[in-house]
Amino acid sequence: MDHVEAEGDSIDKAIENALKLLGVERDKITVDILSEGKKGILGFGSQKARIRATLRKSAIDLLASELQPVPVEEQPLVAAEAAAMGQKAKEILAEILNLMGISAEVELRVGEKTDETVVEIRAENSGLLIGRKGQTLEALQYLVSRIAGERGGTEGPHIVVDIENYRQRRRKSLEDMALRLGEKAKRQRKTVTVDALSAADRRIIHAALQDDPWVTTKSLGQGSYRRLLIIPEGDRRRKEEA
Amino acid sequence: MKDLVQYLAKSLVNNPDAVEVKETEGETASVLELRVAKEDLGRIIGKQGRTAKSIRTILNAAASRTNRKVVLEIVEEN
Repeated sequence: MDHVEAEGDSIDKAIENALKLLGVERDKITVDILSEGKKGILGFGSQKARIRATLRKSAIDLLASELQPVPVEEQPLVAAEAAAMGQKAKEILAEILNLMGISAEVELRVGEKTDETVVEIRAENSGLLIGRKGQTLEALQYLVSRIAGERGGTEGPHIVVDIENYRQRRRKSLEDMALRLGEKAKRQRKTVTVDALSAADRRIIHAALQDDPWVTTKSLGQGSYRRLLIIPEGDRRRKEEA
Repeated sequence: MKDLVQYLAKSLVNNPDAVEVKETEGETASVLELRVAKEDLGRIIGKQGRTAKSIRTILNAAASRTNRKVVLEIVEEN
């Protein structure tokens, strides 16, 4: 944890409280204002000001070296849990592939985030294990994580099953597609619809277009009918509908 | 195929001893009947059928190397 949220009667008070919580000087943090707060009338309807204080990088190193604050001690625990789960996942995946009649090697690799462990497959018929739109790889990842004891949601360590960098290649091709469709929407001033994407795939597209001020992205519908809309600035009607 | 389903099912449920898989071979397809303890049915099916769908996807991938189809039936006892 390298940031805290704090409240106060004013923004200055909130910052003061955050500094007390972190035990650092004002120049060691950057401040994001979450809510400016309201004074209210005679104390009614007043809202406290909320801020998020984030430790600057140099301050984190400093704290780690001299203070050893509580949050830092949690890291090894998460890492140990992730390592144990990764080891389990590796064995489970190896057994599944063996029972599928596929000769493959399975290796562990550290993920992009600390709570993420990547189980990497090396096999000859990678296409078969990836499947259409990656659905076989997705199924393997889901079952392996379930069996290895991954908790649902965003809590706890995660298992990612990958083969020949498929995840990265897929993300790249989805990003390229997102940018291409964004251009198309702007050129034609018409909303472009993309369907039959998994939640993870849709998220990549939302992220790829979020910095483009001329298009907005929305997801509409339920379950497998859920589709993604890329709405250009000119298409007011669709924007209001969505 | 039978061993694969058996392994997955036993790993997912709370009562692995109650897991039973019966394989019936047809001309072009095999049918796998999976039985689990009643309370474990949800663990095999998963939220919105996600677990069952994943098992079938993996089965189909494994079967695609042979020329036979595989059908997984999850049998609910009354």
